[in-house]
Amino acid sequence: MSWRHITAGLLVVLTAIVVQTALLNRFIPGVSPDLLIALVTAAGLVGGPPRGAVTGLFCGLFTDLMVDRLLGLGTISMVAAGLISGLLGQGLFRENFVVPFLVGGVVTACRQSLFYLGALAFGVHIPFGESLTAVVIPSICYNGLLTGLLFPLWQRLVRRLYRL
Amino acid sequence: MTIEQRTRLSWPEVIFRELMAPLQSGVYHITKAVTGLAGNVVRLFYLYSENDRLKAENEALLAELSAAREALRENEELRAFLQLAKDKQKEIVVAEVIARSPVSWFNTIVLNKGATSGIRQDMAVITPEGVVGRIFSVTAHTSQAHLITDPKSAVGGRVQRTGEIVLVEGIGSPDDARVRVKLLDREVDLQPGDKIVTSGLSDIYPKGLLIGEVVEVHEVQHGLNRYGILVPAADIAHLEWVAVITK
Repeated sequence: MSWRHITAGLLVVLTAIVVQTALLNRFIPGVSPDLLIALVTAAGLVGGPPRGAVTGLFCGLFTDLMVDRLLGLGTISMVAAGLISGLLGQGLFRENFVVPFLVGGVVTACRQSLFYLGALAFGVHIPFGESLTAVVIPSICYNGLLTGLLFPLWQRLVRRLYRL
Repeated sequence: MTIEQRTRLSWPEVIFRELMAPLQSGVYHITKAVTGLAGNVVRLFYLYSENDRLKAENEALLAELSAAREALRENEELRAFLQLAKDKQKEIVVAEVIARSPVSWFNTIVLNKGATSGIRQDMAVITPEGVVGRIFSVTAHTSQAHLITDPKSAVGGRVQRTGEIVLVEGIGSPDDARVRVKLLDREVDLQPGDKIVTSGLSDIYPKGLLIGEVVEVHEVQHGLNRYGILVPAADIAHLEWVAVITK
């Protein structure tokens, strides 16, 4: 990968974070669709586990920089999301249009569970029932849908960035 | 050739004129119709362009109206903040909410004012309606506040009706609609409809700021313990402007 591609990749991630925090999270009350999860899932599906993990690493790092506690948990959960997406992509026929929708949902479920358990381990107690109904399930639906809809776009972007 | 005025037309003249008349009439009416059509077409083009111009003008006026309404709303909101500062006799810095937490588990907001505007850690963030949260971290030009709905938030409160002390804790409600009222004593008289205000026992929140209204009271552990659910007075899900109490 050239510096030009790395810079372009970082710009894509930063733009996604800005859109996520300043528009989606601000104007959609409650849980909102996660552009970064959609990006990481696409990277994993198209480029395999290593590229999914690298994309997750940068997305998670930048997210962590904006949340001033439990630093690292966002990164770990995003790297895991990229890896899981990559592994699922290897085992599934990813050209099927349903796959990105499903993988987006599964990856979100894994990421949210990991984040919940991590937060719990670090003393941030969030009621389980409420988390499941108010955060996990809505975000699975949102992100599954968003990942599927944005997949053609992210796929092209990921292919160009990773020269696939 | 004749010089004198004639009273009768010659037969060639009659025949020619009679033959020419339908042609003349036809040409006249066709020309009239074509001219009318051409005029209509020209008018139609004119109407189209006029319509486009009026549409654009209408859109511009609607945009102006919308901007004026928005400015009026913002003006009213900011005026309410000034009134709040006057009523509470506090110095405030009004800031705009520019972003929210990228993680759905945490309830935080990013403000467009920071240390250069006098904002410091642990200052109270409020709106004219009620308490919003507290400043957690500050950079030169931004600050991040933890909302009262955040799972790490705890605000000392007082039941306005009875004066009894309670603790208002965030439960990470993603729609920012509910927080828990923890009773420090089981015997505290808490009922739906009770208003909870800040107790003033901490250094962060001044006394008497409205936190919200109790909507439910639950009994747990077979009645050994109770807690309330409170709806924040401030519309935390749709925050646009907030005030940070600086002094």
